[in-house]
Amino acid sequence: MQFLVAVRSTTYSARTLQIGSSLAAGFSADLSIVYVGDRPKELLSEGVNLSRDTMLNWEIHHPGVEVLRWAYEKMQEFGMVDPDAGEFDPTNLVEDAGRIRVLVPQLHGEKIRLILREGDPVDQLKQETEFRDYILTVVGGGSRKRLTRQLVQFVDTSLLFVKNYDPDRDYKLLLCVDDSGATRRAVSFAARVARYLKVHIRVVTVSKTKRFGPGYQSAAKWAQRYLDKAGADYAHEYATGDPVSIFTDLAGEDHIIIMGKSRKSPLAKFLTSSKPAKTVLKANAPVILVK
Amino acid sequence: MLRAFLYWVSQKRWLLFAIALGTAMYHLPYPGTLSPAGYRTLILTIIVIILLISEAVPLPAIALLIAVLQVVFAIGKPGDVASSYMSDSVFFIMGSLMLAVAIVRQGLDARLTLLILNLTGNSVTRIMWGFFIISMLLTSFMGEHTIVAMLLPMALTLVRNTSDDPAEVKDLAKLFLFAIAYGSILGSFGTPSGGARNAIMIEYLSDFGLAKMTYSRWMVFAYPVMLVQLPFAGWLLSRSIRPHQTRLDDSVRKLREQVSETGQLNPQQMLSIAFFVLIFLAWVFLSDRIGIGIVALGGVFLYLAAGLVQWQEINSRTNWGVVLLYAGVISLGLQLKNTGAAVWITDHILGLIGVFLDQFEVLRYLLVAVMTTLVVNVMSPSASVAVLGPVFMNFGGNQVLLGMETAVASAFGFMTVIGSAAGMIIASTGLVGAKDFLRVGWRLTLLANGTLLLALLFYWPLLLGSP
Repeated sequence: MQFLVAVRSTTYSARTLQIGSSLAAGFSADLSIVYVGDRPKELLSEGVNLSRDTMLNWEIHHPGVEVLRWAYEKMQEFGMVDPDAGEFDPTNLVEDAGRIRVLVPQLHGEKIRLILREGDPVDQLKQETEFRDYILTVVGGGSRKRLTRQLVQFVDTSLLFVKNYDPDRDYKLLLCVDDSGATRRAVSFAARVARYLKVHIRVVTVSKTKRFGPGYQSAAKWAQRYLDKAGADYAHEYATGDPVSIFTDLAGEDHIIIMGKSRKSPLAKFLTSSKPAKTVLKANAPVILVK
Repeated sequence: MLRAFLYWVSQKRWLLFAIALGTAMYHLPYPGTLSPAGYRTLILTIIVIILLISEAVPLPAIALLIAVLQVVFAIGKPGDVASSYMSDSVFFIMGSLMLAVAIVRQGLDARLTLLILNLTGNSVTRIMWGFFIISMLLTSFMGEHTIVAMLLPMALTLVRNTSDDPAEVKDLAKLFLFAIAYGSILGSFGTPSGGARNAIMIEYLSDFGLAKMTYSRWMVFAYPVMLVQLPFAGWLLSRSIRPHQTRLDDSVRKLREQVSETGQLNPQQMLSIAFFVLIFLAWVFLSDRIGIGIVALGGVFLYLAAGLVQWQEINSRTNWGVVLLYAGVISLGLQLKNTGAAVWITDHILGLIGVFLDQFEVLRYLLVAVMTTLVVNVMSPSASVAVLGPVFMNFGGNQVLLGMETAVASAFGFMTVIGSAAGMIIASTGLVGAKDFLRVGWRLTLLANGTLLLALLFYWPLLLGSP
């Protein structure tokens, strides 16, 4: 199992890295940390490349390498890297498949990978997730409409948007259950997260009308049976109204929202967005969209 | 499958928009006051501008599209289009990109570091001025990305020697980086070799039969403007960013130790400097006869022949796509002029506001300066000149002055990361962001445009009568 964490800067990505590494540990997953930086405008790229060459002679590295160094040190701090593992070496770079990898001198296998990419974030994350079989991609933000919608639609893994995450806060899980195809995987994912984090799950099934169709009811029953079997601490409730508003209102700031990815047609999602994307944009808490 | 297609659509939306707009314009009734070839040149120009700004396709592809559509749209014959792709200004762009690789690899950055530190001492303000003045003076002769590439490591090493905590040295880094970048931007219009846009304008002035602008004559026009801006721009910069450090005794000492390890100037470095002096002299004294581009190519030959740089290195580090693109946009600029599209555009603008411009000459210059500055901050400076030059030169006033104004104002990409090569380079360090460019850049934009207007009103007219 492999998780991917996207980092951008030492200032804004600490929490993304923290929650990503914590979940990877909980799932015993391998962790890839990818820095996606801006690609210089092609017309002006020659100067940038020239200056990067001269800077290397002065041991001044690409800013992305410095962010990866910071991430590596954080991993050591979080206990994800063996303390006896070697020092981060910014010159130990390997180019493969259009990206650059910093080789990490570890003692046991390759549990952590450090990757440097440049370009459009959606395009680069899409390429990275197509390159390896990632289960979950962890990203910061979730406030920029276009970026969020594109990530939700085109990055073909489960996604965790680390939005307004406070490591000192006691989080519970808010699990959204409906008749979509991804609900079962969302329930299973939530049970696993809850077991690792030892937290309560608030399961909610929302219908726009007061009538809950058989699809909704059987999904709710299936979720309850699954969570019972998993021994999870949970409570289930039905609610009526706009699902996005209800999810985000119930979540507040102290729940991690977990829901399945949308089953709408790609064209409909492209033109009108989707419930999960709208939830991410409106929420004031981390959101996990399970594929 | 559908998802992949939608993804392609989302990535290529600007290309699709350009195609749709171009197709729609092509099928609309043509304006009676413009020739069909002129109207199609206009369509092509709009498509190229959209693709240049959005980078929806690789740059060389835009250059190829310009050639293909010129022929398909019956704007020019294949032979004419092919010959319009190669000119002295394209030689200059090619030569200066190759020269940059040749010069940067000589390891002269350490020498430059010692020179600046010897001049400035350890005071932060003096070092800022050192960066600013040296980058301005050197960039006026050899292209901003060459100088920024050499000065940047020194600035960053000083910052790194000061503290490992990025927050502690945030403003110090910004001050030094902007001093290098803005110094380079301001220096880049001082001489024709300061930037490709200058060479393009010289080519236009000559091809359109307006003036023979030699290297030294350009300097008489532009260098005083650059020098007048120097103290005011430096002062504005020092007021805009104020790091709490005032002296860098330890950092400078460490840097001196580091640099002194490289020893004395070696023979290759001395030869390299001698070659550059030779190139400069040839630009000043020979370029009006053999062309600025031929001199640049001659310089590259010297570096290659003396073994100071290997062809493989030049070949791998030169962005040939940029050369091809400039060839394409220059060809397009010539067609804007030849087909009458440039005059048609300006006639329409002048039809709306010409009355005001005729009454107040300064408004004409102000409008050109403002529009050029705005365009250059979202598009490449040289590409801006290639496209805007033929349009603005017909803006109703003196064509030589308007051409020079467009070339000089196209250097003023202070406000955005993509407004200049120097800006893009310092932004690539991750230590300055888009907001910093706006915060610091608007002041310099006002100053630079104000100085240019004064030159246009009071200084440049005096030069028109002189040889």
